[in-house]
Amino acid sequence: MTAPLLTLDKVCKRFLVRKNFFGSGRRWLTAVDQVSLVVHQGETLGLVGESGCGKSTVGNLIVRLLAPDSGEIIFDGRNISTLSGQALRAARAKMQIVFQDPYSSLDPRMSVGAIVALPLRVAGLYQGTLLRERVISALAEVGLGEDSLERYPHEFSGGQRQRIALARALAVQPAFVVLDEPTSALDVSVQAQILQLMAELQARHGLAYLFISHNLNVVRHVSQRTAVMYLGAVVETGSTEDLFTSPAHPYTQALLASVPVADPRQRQNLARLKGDVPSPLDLPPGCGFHPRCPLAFDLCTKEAPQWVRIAPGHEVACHLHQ
Amino acid sequence: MGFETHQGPAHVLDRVSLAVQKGEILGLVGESGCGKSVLARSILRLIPSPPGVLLGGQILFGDQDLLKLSEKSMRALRGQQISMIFQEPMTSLNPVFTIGHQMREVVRTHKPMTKAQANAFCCSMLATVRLPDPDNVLQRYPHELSGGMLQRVMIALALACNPALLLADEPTTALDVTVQGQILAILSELATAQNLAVIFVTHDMGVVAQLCHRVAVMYAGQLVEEALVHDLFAQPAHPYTQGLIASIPGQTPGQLQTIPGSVPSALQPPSGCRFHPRCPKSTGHCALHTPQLLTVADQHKVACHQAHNRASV
Repeated sequence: MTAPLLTLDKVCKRFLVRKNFFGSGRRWLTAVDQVSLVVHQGETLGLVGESGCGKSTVGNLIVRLLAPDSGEIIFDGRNISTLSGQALRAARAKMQIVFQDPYSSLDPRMSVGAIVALPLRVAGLYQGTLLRERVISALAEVGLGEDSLERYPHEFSGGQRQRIALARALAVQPAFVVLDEPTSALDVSVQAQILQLMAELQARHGLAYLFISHNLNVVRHVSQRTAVMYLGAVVETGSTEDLFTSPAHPYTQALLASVPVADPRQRQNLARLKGDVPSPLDLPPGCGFHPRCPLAFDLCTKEAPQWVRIAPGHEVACHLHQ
Repeated sequence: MGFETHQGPAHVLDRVSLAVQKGEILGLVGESGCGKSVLARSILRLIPSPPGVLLGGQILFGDQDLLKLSEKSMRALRGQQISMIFQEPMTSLNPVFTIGHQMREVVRTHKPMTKAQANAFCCSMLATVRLPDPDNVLQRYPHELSGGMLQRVMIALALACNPALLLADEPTTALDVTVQGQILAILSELATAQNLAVIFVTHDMGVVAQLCHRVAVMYAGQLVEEALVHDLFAQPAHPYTQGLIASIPGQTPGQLQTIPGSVPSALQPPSGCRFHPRCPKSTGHCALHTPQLLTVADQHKVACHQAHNRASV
């Protein structure tokens, strides 16, 4: 197997939370805790978890919108975790991000042409007529015509805006794109169109995707491998097929069982987990999942579980499998 | 129901007829902008006028026409007999008052009670929605609770006066899937226990399949199909319903079915059948004639020329 395109090695990110206006009562919020992931060329890695589990923070760390506190992010053979300025800008020409909400991720005062041209200008890749041609071809790839160049984001529907955001990300011809809940704000029929488009673009350009989503059905559909996050930590990774058919971590099992199946003949017990996700300000000791875990035992409250390989490419962090 | 907009009148609901029985959960599905929330709000007469304009029809609750009631009798009905829960539990509660304050206010508006009685009553309501430690919850402010807990508070509030009808407008859309599961389980249990009629507005076909007894599908302000949940999933008759079911990811491996195009504007709906520009099966006839909602099988109605032809053969 060739070297992975992207490797995250024990990446951590904490945020400082102030209790009051005057900065006293400082506390640290652990958003991402020792996360290690790999993404290979041309593949889609799905990253799933509930809100607040740190999955978007991972996406932001990879494209270095945030700097990690510790750990390494290796992209295309280079450690990018400490890059800044010109070097970071150069690295970003090969990696892009698409955000969840196409209503706030596009500047309403910029025309679509200017929006898509901006990353190309920043990267200094094209100028003049060549720039214009590149923008037109990027828009054409996502199914938008030349007439959209002079129009503004408010003239487009949610699905079309997400196409514009995709065109902006793909304009610089990256090797890797972080897709942070790209279809969560869209209706299901439009979501299907966008997913289809992203699959076509991936096949055409050999793109690698990190697909962040809380929608397990979507992740199952788009990704070859999947990682599950809970409370800042990855708890299970594996091929999508393995992970969905034989989930090993109790959290993954509960998460999968909670997804309503669109078949009235299979009514499920949807209330598999009790309670809410604990606050990341106040992490439980041992395994982060133990307060909600139906199978927790003594050890889970004391020690954090180690990673165990249970099948080729299928790893889980749970004491039950030690 | 229509709206006066500065771009002219928009027909947001067009001759929608629906009925829901006691103890039944009716799913109302459709994409954003199809009018499903407007329908739910019109039942409670929560649509401000202007811009909302009622163009005709009636809304019968039991045998009284809600549209003919005075605002005063409507107020007495809201919360007491028909109540509603909304998508965003965070914005449904006032952030500057405690949960207890807001719950007591609602309860005491409808039932004469002392503060202590109301407190005890609220505690028992919170216990029925399985909120742990209800005494403590009552003293908290909305921002101190999670979305799932707030939505349970809203359900407790909505059911406080034993209403006969509950309107649930996407109550789990803003929640995580494990919490959504808990909320759906509570709703379904309470609906059975209290013989409650529920109109559950959602765009999630998975939720519909798991929760509802009967389903109504809306498209561009019109009802296009209505059936028992098993029949709808087993034999969707309208091409839009078929497309909606096929575009759920993770159903079948491989290619994801898509419905081309997007929902038309309510300002200028397409002629004839409103779905015809996106319909894979449309013919010239569809562009000219509006299909009626006709019964094609037992308790199964559909508004589609093709489905009518098939049924009559």
